[in-house]
Amino acid sequence: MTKLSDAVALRAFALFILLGLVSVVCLWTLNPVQSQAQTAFALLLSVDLVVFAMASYVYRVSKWKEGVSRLPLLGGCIILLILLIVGLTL
Amino acid sequence: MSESERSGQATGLVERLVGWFDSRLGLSHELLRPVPRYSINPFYWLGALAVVAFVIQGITGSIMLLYYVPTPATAYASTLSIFQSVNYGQFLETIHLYTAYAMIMLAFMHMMRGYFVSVHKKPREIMWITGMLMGFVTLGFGFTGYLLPWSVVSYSATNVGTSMISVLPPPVASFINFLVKGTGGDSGELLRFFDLHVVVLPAVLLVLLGVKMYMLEAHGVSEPTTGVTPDLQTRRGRTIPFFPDVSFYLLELAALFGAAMLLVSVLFPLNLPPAYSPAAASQYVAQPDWYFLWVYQILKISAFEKAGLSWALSFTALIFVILVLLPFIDRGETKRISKRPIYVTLGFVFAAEVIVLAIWGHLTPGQVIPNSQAILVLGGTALMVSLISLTAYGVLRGKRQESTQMPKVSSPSQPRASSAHTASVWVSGMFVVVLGVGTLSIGSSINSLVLMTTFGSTDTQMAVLAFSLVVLAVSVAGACFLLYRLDLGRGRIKRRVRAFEVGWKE
Repeated sequence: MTKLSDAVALRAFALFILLGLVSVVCLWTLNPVQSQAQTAFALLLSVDLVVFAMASYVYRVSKWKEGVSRLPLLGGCIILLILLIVGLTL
Repeated sequence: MSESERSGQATGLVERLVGWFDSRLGLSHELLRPVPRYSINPFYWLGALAVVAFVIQGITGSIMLLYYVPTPATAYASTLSIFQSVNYGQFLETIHLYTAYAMIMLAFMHMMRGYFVSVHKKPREIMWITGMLMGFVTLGFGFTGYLLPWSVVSYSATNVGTSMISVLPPPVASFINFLVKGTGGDSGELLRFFDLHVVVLPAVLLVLLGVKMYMLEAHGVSEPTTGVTPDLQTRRGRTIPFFPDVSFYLLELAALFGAAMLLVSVLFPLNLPPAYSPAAASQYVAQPDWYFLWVYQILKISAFEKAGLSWALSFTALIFVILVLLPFIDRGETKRISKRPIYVTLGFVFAAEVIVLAIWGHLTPGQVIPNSQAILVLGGTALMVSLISLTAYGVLRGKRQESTQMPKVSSPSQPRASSAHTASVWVSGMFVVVLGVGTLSIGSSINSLVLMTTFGSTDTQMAVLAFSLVVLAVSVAGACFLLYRLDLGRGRIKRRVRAFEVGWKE
């Protein structure tokens, strides 16, 4: 797997932060009394956690000058997509 | 402004932000020592993940504490009201339970990893003992927390444990009775379990955690079993400051762990079993939770019934004592897995027996196990795992001897030899894993066959048997393939296969 350049990694970092903020906003719109909202809450919270892990990975690996690998980012993005689709359609 | 300038500015902003916190909180001062690069690996931080699970339980437990009332008359009703009336109540209960399970599992994995890579050896003996005590406290959390919902499942399972106290020697029995039963009766017992779960055990665990962290600071992260090789000294051996680098790495692991727990709670939401009543309990087969099933299965062997129960408890206690005192038993200098065949094999046997006993206990609730069956399954598992482990050691030793007999290569080709060696180690590791899975499937097949012949065949047993046989077939195929791969350096199998193919074509 090839490595991402610093500029692309920085864009990915910004995108993850944005996605995390969107997910947090969605969390506050849920009605906690509904039982279905508990599932959505868990899914959106897990989106936040995955986003944080990926943003932290980009920051850490860029700092170590080891090059951000595409594989974890690609895997994380697929997981995020699934979580977001399921979480927002509930 | 060019793209590189913009990226430089943004990175500078993050650095400045980190620097601001650092200057205010003094985080980069040597409070936590830098760690070597090779320790940036999840297996080095299994204990830290167990602590993360403990923190999540602390948060969810504190919220539940606002609603829970620890008396026999109200415990179940208040737990049910958390489920039904509290915002995200079911989610809280589910997360609390699954992180408890994860904490126990991570503690077990942390212990087994430590055993295999010899972290218990000099100078980390006291660290190992502290870790073992933390493991016991973790099991104590499981035992005491299980009773609190006061459901028929939790009450019956806890009763199995507390009923064994009378078998213990009188001074020990009276002390444990004082600890867990208090003034006596259901209300006294529930209150003691609640106090232990919410106050005593967390306090003890925090003290032990402090001691362990202090010793981690004193000794640092354990070195790889191969020692610090030139490769580790250069690229992977450089040290990394704890803040912000390692802290961010740990937060990443914690976030991924939290996300996994959330997903598990979504996929398998907890449903509260019926409330405890003597009538409901009489129709329920008492069975402890999964982490005590292996001990319970030992106690169910017919040789240990009634008068033999004290022997079974002594035997189980002996296993725990051996684990605690391991640093003073396994005192060899070497940490290399390849040089410790006996201890590594014993470790595999222990792990396999615990897994087999737990699965077996789950499949045979409330049944007394005949001695012959116990000998067949436990002895068979021990024998097979030992044979597989020692065979793998034999193959590896042959491979090593061969590599030492090979002529020394010149320096330009050294990286190639190193990568071949790494590949060989990976293939060997895969070989051991495949054989381990194969052994478990053999144990499962034997268990299914024994159950089918004893109690008649059911669809579930047939499915388990079929699945075990499929796994066994895949493992055998995988082992053959890996043996072929391992032999590539020597070439005997390859030559024979090639000769066979030539003969077949002709």
